[in-house]
Amino acid sequence: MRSDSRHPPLAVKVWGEFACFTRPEMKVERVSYPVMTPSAARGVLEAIFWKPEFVWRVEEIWVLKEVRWFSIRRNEVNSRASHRSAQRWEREGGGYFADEDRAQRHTLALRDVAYVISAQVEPKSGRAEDEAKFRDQFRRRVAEGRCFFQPYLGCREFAAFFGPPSPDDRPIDWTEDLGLMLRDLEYREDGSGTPRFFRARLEQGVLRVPAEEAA
Amino acid sequence: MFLEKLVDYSRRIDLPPRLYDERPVRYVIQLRADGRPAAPEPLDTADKENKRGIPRRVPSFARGNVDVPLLFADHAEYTLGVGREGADPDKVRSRHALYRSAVAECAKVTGDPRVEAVATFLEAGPLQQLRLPDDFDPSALITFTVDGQFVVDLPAVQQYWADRNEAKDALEMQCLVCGRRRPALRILEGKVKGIPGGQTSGTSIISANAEAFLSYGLEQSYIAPTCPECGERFTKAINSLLADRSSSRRIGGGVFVFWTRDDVGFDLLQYIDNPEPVLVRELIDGLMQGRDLTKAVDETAFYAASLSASGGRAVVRDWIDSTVGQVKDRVAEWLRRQAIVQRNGEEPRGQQLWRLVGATVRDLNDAPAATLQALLRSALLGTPVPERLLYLALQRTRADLEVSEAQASLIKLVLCGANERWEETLTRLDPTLDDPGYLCGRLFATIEQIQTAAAGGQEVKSTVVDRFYGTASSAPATVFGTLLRNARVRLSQLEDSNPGAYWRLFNQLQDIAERLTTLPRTLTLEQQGLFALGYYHQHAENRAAARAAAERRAQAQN
Repeated sequence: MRSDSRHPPLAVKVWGEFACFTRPEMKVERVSYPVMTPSAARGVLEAIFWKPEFVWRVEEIWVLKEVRWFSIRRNEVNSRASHRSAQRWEREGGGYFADEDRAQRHTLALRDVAYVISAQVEPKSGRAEDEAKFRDQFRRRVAEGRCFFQPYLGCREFAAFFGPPSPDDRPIDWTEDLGLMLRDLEYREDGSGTPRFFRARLEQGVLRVPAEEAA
Repeated sequence: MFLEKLVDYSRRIDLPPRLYDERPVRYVIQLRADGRPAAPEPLDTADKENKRGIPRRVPSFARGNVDVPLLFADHAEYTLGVGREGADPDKVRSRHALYRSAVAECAKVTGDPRVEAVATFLEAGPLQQLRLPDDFDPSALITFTVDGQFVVDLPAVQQYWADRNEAKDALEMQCLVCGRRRPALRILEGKVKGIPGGQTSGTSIISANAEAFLSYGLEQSYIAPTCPECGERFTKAINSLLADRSSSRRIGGGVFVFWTRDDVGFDLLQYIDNPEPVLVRELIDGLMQGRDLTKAVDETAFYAASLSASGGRAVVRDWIDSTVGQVKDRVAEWLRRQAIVQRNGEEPRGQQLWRLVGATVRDLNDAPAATLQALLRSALLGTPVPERLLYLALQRTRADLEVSEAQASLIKLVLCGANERWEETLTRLDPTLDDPGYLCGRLFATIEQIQTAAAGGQEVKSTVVDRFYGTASSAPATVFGTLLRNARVRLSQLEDSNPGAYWRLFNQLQDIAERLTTLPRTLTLEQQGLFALGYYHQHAENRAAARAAAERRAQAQN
């Protein structure tokens, strides 16, 4: 179900000190895409406002600042946190010792980023009044700085700040083919997902996300 | 983008057929068209020294611990049913049976008479028809010719090999390199060889071998779906770049590779590896004039990556996507920034990249990959060199008790990147520069010379440099009072013994001391860098002056 594009898109400006929009092919020793991916943008929008009755469709991402890279190496761990293990430790004692489960991982990430995300609300019901309601709610939340959880820029530890875009926000002068970029994941019933890619092109600092073609 | 550009590059090079690789093949069993041996013994192609055979392109993939025959290019267990010493006979028998049936199947599918000849030979019992040499090595690879034709080279065999190993049960996904929906690789087939610090068997670019690395409930390489063709192409392309010394450079814990989209004869290494003055001049002149003549070359895309390894994984530390023209301009700028007067006062020059890396460590092999990365970025992208390298270089000067040309060059490079003020200076002694750090450096060099001159050719056991370089270069106020008093005493000794040196050094000391209005208690990192440069410049200047004086004397005598 597609919303008609009578409405101007909803827009939010996000910025932060660090960002890492990890390329799947280099996700262990992380390397970021040079700009925010549509799925990361969706994540930011969902952190601010989301209801089961609608989905977000990201249309454009404006890049407001020159791309700057930095690299860090951190001590991370090999295992994932599991709710069930934590419950067992609570019952039976024991715990997790990160020192014994170390993995040093390198990250090539972005610093000092700012974007404007433009997106449409697509109500699952397809009712126009629903859409208007969601749009207004989103605008109010952005203006007041409310969110369900702090949005982040690709990685949880890279917190994002957000606010309404100002008329002065202009994309940078940068036109380039970025190659294939992760668009989003197609989730199945069991929670596993299949990554989907699209040919990304930055036109005068604007990444346009084409409407999804049928898989 | 990295992988995509590698796949593009793979189309430019002569790539082995799919799932083929170049490996040393030692024995060649020569057959006739009817499947009987043309020679009683297999041809041994080993060289005398390391007993390796001749490299040939043969079927190859990482077998792991599964028994799979490598068609027409396997060792004796598979090919002939001859085990290594202590091999399990059952295993040898079953492996040879696998090999036989694989050849038989290949003969059936391809219908090629030459493959059938091999099958006939194997069915008739190879050991009954062949005499193995006395020094036969069962672990060496064996291949076949039929009427002089290598079976592995037959297109039908190559096609069969590619089809046979096509993943059948693989998930079909969108390949993240070519974008097509193809069966995805569960595990990449080839390994990347030649990245320092990784496992000796090689590293992988895509690798998810622990739970925390998985995503979206997908296992292993499915997290980054790659079709077999792209996977093979980018692995072979990176290996080809890494194996070629004209497209890769290994320094310390890292390696960097670079290439251009088309072969336009641009050789980056001649500028950063061994910057010949003529080339450097050419490059810098080009920067000044702009260059239209070579536009087509300059617009060619240029790529570079710096890589290191972590266990079995390749780490992409940096990825640079630029053009030849841009790189030329930036390298010219980089060479200009680091150009420094030579130790003996001769014309300024730039330093080889590895020397700059070496200026930060005691042993070049200790240099972390980050150092190389920072310097390369500054050379190729024009980014400033991080101050950390300044700190490291200064530490080395304190430990070495001297400032080497490479250290001076690196210090200048860092300072110029950090502060535009230094752009046009710092190449050689600047008598008008009034920075207290710089003046302290010059003063210290002068005091050292006074001491040397006063000793009159005798060795000084413990020089001022040995004792005071560290403090003088960081907290001048604490030591310079004493140093100057001592220097004046030595000067007065000189006055009688060597009046020429006395007046020269006296004036030099006076001149610097007059400019230095106050002795700073401590020097900032930047000032410490300027101290090192002042010290270096003053020495270079004095050596040049001494040389010029010697030349004048020599001329006067003639």
